[in-house]
Amino acid sequence: MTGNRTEKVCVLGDFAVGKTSTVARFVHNEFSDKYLTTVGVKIDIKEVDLGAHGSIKLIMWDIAGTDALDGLQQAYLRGASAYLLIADGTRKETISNALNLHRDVQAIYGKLPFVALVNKSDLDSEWEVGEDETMRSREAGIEWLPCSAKSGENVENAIRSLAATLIGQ
Amino acid sequence: MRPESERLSAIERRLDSPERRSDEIAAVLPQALRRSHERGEFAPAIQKPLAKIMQVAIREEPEHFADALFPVIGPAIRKAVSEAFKTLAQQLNDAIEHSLTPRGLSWRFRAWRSGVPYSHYVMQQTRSFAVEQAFLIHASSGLLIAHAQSATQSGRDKDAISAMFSALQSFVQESFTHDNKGDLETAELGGLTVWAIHGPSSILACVIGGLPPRSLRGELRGILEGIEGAHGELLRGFPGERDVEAVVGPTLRQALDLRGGESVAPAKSATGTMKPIAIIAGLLLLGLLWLIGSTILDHMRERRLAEAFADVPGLIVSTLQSDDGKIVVHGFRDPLSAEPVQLIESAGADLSRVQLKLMPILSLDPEIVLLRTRSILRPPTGVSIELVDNIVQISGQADAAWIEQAQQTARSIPGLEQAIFDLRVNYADPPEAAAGSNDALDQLVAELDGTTVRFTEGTRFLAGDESRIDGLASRLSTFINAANAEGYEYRLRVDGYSDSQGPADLNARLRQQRASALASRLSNAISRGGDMLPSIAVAGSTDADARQAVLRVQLVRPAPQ
Ligand SMILES: Nc1nc2c(ncn2[C@@H]2O[C@H](COP(=O)(O)OP(=O)(O)O)[C@@H](O)[C@H]2O)c(=O)[nH]1
Ligand SMILES: [Mg+2]
Repeated sequence: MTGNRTEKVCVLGDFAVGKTSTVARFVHNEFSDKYLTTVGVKIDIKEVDLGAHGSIKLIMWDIAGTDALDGLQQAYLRGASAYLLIADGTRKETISNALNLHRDVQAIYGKLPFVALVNKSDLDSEWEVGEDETMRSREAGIEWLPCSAKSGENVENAIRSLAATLIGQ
Repeated sequence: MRPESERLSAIERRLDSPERRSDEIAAVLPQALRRSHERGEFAPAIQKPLAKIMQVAIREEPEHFADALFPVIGPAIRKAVSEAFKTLAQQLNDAIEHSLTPRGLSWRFRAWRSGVPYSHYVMQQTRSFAVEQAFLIHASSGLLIAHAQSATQSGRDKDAISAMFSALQSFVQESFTHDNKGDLETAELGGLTVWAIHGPSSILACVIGGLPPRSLRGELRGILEGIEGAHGELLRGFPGERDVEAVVGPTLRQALDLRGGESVAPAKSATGTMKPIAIIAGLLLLGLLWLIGSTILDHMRERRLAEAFADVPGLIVSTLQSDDGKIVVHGFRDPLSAEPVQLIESAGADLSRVQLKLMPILSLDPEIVLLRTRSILRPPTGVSIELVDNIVQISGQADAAWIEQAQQTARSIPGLEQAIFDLRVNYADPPEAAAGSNDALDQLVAELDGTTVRFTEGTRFLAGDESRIDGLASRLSTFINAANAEGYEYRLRVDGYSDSQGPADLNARLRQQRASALASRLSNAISRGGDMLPSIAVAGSTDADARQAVLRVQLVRPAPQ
């Protein structure tokens, strides 16, 4: 059944790494600098059209972030087909926190397709993430893709590649 | 060919012997059943005969089934009964609610016009509802499996609603239930009533307009059970390859056919008025609070009045109780005791709410005895009648006739068993009129006369009082010098007292010893100051029950020349 698929995709990451901004960028293609503390969960819908491969409807669950999964967040993750892992390039610790989240999800829900993004690539001068962090991630099987919810860099690409993975399954 | 024919006859024998055939079939039957079941053929094949068998069995041996079903039927009946009660409660609630609204009033009018009892009319009207949308939601992912809606509704955002509903469900489970088992069954969101029924793999959530009766839940459950029963496999495998919506859609649409009442009311506003049950409960609560409050107030009023009436000399309250908003006071009162009306007013009580039932008595309370003595003796100016250590003391100056009369009358005053008379005869032409009154001396007399010094159990001064004796001596010496200078005579005396405990002779001696102890102490102190040794008389006195000695100072005016 191509053309009318629906999948649940969760967005995970430490607080203030830019989860809501990234989803907003991708759903409405606009960016607001206004800080928004996400309470609980925010749901957005995105239809991704992959031409000949068909289209897929993503139900995006933007889950309020911390560095560990609590009971409620685990419940929110139930039934997800894929997830977006987001870190903040200006805060080194958000990378290792994202790694922890990734391990938790795998432990509970098994291996699911995911895309890892290091957000705020527009903030060159404050960039903290170096070779050390990316190396350690690579060992854990994670390839970080730099992106910016502000400039839009790589956001659309990342989501489309996730959609392609889901359709290809 | 022989073996051939032998085998044939062997087969024949096998076929002819029912015992052997059944043995062989029995050996393969379990596996055959399993196979058939796996192909999905067994259950449909066995269903009808099995039902028939059960019918027959129940008809033939009902008691066996009754016994077997007993543990199941009890709870089932209870559940049905409680469901019926809930339905009734909801309808009652609706009926009350509508009797308080303009719509309710118009219904009342219409019911009256059509001759139908109002309650019936309300039941009819409040059963009006319509299922406007039905969501079949995948239980674990919150993904929308299928959606049905009435033609008038727009189906925008149904995926988001479905996801949000399941998020809410998770939130409720995580936040408000102990074991994460509680299901979100109703939600009122943005003016919509949402009812949800939970199945093993899916949730049926319906947006309902109007006021659905509780029985609707049962009907919705029936629909969900139909879907889960027929397509359980498909739902468990969701999202699979097949278009599940096309499969379950028709059953789901049945939910939209569930409607009631003549006219379908619009979706109930979430910002509606308070539930009437809540209003009634509120009123009951207020009533209860008022009752408790007024009881407490009554009690407080009684208490305040009782306090105001307590310890009033000459007034004895026997009972004091609230009766029909009034406080009735029973008791006894000496006519000389404090005016009850004033007591009531000073207690802040409402005079009209207090009823007094006081019997007159003669009180022996010292204060009342004092008042009685005053009112009977009617002392002239110059004579004061006071209480000193609860004993009436009559002192001052009066003419000889009054003094004599007073001493006579005093004996017959009720309660006046003992009194101290300290009176001087008033001469027709008082000497001070000629000599001029001596305010300074009078003041010293007033200051010194009656000064009390307390003792321990024996004849030793109480430590605190002993330290005051030297000061007292120096004031006394000032007085003596002044009196001598002015040519006045004076008299000094110390009265010794004892308490009434212990043997009487010992106490009499103690009184003497205490009087002389203070007297000698004072005169020693005065003589040391260079003045002449004053003569201080000592006396034992039984006027008071106390371990003390009291200085008496009296100025004797010179006789007129
Ligand atoms: N400069 C910059 N700021 C960003 C970017 N993405 C998010 N932010 C800011 O980071 C803060 C947190 O973003 P938010 O999306 O609310 O983070 P969330 O808590 O992960 O949802 C906000 O102030 C955003 O404006 C980005 O790509 N570049
Ligand atoms: Mg957020």
